[in-house]
Amino acid sequence: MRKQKIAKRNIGSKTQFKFRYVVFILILVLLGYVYLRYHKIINEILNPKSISSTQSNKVNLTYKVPGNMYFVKSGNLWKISGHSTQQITKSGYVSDIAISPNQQEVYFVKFGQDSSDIFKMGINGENLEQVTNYPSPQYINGVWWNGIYSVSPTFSPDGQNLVYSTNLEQVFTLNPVASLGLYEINNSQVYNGYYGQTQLTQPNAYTGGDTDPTWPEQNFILYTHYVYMTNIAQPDSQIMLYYIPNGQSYPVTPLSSEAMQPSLSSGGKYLAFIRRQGENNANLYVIKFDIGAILSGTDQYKNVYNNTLDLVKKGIEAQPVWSPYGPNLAFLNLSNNSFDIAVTGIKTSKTGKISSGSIVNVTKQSNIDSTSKIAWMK
Amino acid sequence: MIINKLSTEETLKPKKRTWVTVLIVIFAILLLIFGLLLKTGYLQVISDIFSITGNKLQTTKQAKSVKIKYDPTNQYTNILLLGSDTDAKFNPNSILTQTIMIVSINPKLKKVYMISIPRDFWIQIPGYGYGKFDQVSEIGGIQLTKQLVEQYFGIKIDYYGWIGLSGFVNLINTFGGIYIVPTHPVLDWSYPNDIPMTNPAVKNANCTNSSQSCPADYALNLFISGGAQYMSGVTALEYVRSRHGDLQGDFGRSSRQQQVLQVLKSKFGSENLISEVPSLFNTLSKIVKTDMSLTEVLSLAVDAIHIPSGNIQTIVLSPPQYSTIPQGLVDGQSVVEPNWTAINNLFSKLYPHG
Repeated sequence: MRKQKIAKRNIGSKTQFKFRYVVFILILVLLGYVYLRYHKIINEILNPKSISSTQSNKVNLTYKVPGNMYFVKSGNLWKISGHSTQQITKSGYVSDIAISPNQQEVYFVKFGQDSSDIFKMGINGENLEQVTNYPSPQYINGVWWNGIYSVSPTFSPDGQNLVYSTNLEQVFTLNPVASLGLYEINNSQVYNGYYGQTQLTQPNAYTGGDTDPTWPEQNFILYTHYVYMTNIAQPDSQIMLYYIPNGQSYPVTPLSSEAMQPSLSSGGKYLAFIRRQGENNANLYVIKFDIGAILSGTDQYKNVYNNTLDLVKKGIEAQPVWSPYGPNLAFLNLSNNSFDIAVTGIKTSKTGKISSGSIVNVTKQSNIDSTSKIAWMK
Repeated sequence: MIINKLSTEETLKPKKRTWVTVLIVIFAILLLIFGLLLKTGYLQVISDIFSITGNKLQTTKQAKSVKIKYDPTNQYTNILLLGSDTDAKFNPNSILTQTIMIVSINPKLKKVYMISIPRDFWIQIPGYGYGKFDQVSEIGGIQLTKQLVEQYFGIKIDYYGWIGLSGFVNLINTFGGIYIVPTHPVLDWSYPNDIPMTNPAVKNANCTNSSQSCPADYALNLFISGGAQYMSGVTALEYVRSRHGDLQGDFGRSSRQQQVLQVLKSKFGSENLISEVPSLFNTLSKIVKTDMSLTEVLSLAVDAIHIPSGNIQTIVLSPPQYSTIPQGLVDGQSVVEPNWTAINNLFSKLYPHG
């Protein structure tokens, strides 16, 4: 009996012993949970700071794309080649990159507080040169005149000319708008209205003007035209085509389309652009491009509202650009508070309907500058 | 056997002591944590968080008893939002309010109105004569501003919130900046140079490089791209404050202010920022002057989160529908004359009685 009692006590002691450990571990787990759940709040009480996380100077690649891709992150030019990334500049002032068709030079915009100019350098950051040199802010006859902005340079297909957006013409007027200016690379000559030379477009006053030019074919330029629908009404934008042979501009999308940032696929089959929709959506659209219909003014409305691919509905996208390898489209997609590069393929079915493949992220949580174009070269 | 028993007891005794020690240590740790939380006010904040998330953990009577005021005639909670060109928020009798906006929330109907009153609205101000609406707070403070909004627009103002320039910058930065799609590029040749800008070194270089000193009224030349982008607090302020390059001028910037408010509302909802309330409250209390309590702010924020973006109606009382801009100056000033018939009709439709 005594033997049995001792044995039972031993068993009971062992059970209690294990139970205590379990309780102890549970308490530790509970404390750990409470700490993990609220330590962020405690930290913010003790060290009040902004919600935003710090943006790391790192590009996270998640998918390999053919060729080379250029983009801007935190004001610096970056390049993706295969599985590797390379930061080309370190100064932090680069925006609006344009890679020369021979891929030897990169033109870009350097922003100051009151102005911007176009610069160029070798593709690896060497031989920096200033391209445009507009007047700095200056004090003339008791009046302070501000500087000039030149933005969004883009090359002609033959690499001989550069078109860009500038408010140079309106420097001494009270309706600052941007128009398209032309830079002839071999002659180092800037053409713009203020110096009595030709300018490509003449936007309406107070609109923000003509921006985002792209020069996909030698005889026409596509750009965004910002405008008001009536005299004092909602701001709007549409994509226009500047036809070089006759110097006329033609609407590609209708006035109410709120379309911007056009990009034409290699070969000219598809036009991708961004449409601002609702209070804060910027959706990526793809339509078939038909220059004959645009020049004759017959097909623009049909193009936008019928047989149109709305790639990412109710999202925030920017800066579409086509692959040099076929109908593949790259663009910036906002996800988890970060603009990242995504790609997808575009095709047309036998019935003529446009569709896309799955959308694949090329980068992840890399905070790419969405106001600067991306470039995709062979 | 005895040896066995003794050995068992001997081995148990130290374990009992260990267990007691562990309990004491755990109790001490809990006391330490409790003391730390009490000291930082964390328990009160946690209580507030749970009081608005519906969690049962409510430890204060205040959290349980929060009641949001509303206009009994139409069931809307009306908040008067004011913005000014000065951050001297505790000296309200010396400020002009550049932004005057009524935000009305009806949680039951899941509706929100944002109605911007033009700052140049030409109205009669008691004891003063005719003046612009933005002068009211300068003349009679926030109290007179609330009184005249109620008188002219026929709704009860339940709360107010006031913010200055630096306060707005801090507010946006507290939210971690915003992702927004500007309606068009902003080019402003005369943006006021009165708060620290993103790159003051460049601005100063412009002044020192010329033979003249930088003039006091030196204005900045502003450029903001169109299209989707991230905006920090400073850029967001530039976006909502610029008016010289906009065909709609003050009316255009009112639209941009409403756009930023909607983005903040969406951000608050989509990123579950309720858990960030302590940080937000800490910052907001320093930059926003309001008669709302923390629990009222949180309750309204949660209500607003559950209202779909499509149910938010934005209105600017601009020409030609709700006002006119007279030819020439009135009393030496550029003013906007309200079309009270149209405005009264609008408010009758928006806020049906009963």
